[in-house]
Amino acid sequence: MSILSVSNLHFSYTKGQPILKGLNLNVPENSIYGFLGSNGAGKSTTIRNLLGLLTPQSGEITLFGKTNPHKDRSCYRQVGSLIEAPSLYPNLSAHDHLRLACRYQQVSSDQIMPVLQKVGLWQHRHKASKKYSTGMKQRLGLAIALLHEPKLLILDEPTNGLDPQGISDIRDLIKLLCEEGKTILLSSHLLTEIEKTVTHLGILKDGQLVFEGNQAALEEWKAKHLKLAIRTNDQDRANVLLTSAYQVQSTKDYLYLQLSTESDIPVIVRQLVTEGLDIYEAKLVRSDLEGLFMELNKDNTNHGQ
Amino acid sequence: MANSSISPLALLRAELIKLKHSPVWYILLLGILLTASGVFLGHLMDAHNMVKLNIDPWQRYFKVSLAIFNLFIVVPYLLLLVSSTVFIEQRADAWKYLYALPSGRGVFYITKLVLILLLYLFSLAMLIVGLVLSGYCLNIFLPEYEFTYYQPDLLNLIEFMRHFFIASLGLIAWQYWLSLRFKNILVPLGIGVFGFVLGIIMSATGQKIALYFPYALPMIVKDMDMFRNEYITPSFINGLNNVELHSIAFFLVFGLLGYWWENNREVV
Repeated sequence: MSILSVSNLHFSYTKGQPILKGLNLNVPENSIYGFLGSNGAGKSTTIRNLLGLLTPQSGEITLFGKTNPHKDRSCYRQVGSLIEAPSLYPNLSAHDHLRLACRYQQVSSDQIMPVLQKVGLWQHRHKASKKYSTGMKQRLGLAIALLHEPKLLILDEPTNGLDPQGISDIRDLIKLLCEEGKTILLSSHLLTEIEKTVTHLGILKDGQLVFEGNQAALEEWKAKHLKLAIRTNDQDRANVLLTSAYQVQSTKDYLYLQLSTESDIPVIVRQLVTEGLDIYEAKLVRSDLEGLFMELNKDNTNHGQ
Repeated sequence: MANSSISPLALLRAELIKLKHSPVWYILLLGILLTASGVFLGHLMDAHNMVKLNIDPWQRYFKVSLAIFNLFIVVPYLLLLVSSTVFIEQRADAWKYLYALPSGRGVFYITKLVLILLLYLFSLAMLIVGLVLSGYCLNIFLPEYEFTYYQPDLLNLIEFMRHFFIASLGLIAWQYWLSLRFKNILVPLGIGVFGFVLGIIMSATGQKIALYFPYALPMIVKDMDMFRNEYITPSFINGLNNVELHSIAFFLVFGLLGYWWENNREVV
């Protein structure tokens, strides 16, 4: 069941220059939905539309079953958000920020301690936020988003500017939140982070979703995109021999062959050996999310399931 | 946008939390101290031109104090107060957080405006305290004027402040909208300073157009023997003069304009 769905969403800042061009997406309940796209693809614009910070020109947003929630914002009680850098008042401490959030979200201040402990800021709760590191600021932003126990968490580039440890901490926290039953929409342009974290994936290109699916769909795509890198004593001859049966891409060091299954590998090796070629190296190259991303950014084929 | 179910008091308390360690308090303190200490020092150095012997010194003392406040302090003070209160949000890039909350935008607009009005009221109240205290302090150095012998006419002083407050409403709403409109503090302050200078010129030269210029209204609301303000006529609504009525009209127009604009702007 989708907790958030978007249908045919259009948005432009300037007339004639659309940013979102009929975007469709579905975020299933209790998923970590990776929202991937290169810079300028429209990720932040989509998220700002979802949160009612921007008004869509056309299309439909359904949040917790309510259509066009920006007209009646009551369902945003179940949403927590962190958009890029968190909104922090430099003179206020973590504790002050959460006191503020308690008033805005109408929750008891008893919630402050557990949420600060969860993000690891309890020890630093009285320090002014201007003295925090980037990672601490991001964690405080997360604490503010989590304070009222939202069912849906919308995070736009939450690992921006973080060091590897900070990125890992945020990733662990996101996984923990999903285990606790929350749904997370995670926007990022960091492919490896998305790949390590998400259960579902949507890839945005030029304001449209060009791929949407779960991990199984991603694995299926990967299985279909196997490549064999091969190096022999005569690359030109090997190229001529294999071109008729396989799609071959030649580089300085390797010939890359597009395979349909792993069982193609021994067939290729036997053929080359039979033709008297010496094989120095043959290795399987599995396509990763980066491969998918690059491919989708080359062509506009919809791989959605 | 939808209505909020958050209580206005909770929102106001939230606004007060944001003022912690903020420059707003320093601006507030500075406005009061500058007026009270300026008047105190002025009297100390040139007492015989300011107050007369053997008559109630408080009346003349308050009149001079309020004239200085009226001409030099109130408009720049309001520019700083309004801009810095709004700049708390701009500096934190907080609109994207606040407007993503379930409450809707209008409640934040109104709460911030109410906070500014309350801060202004508070500073006027503190100014009354500051002026009375400085008057008693003056008595230590200039006992011949007998500040302790006479009672300060507080009701009259409060009445003056009431006029200042109402005459400032139009300027507050306009400056508030400007501060929301621009993401930095310099542009609204720059426009405000330009308006202040124009306001002084209009008021000092007795231009009738001052009646329709929000920056000039607090300066001409009461006759302080500084400007020719014969165009201030008694009004028919509960003792409000035409300057105050214009200020209320500006407040309503700019307040509603700002509300509409804030509710409809795209938060990028």
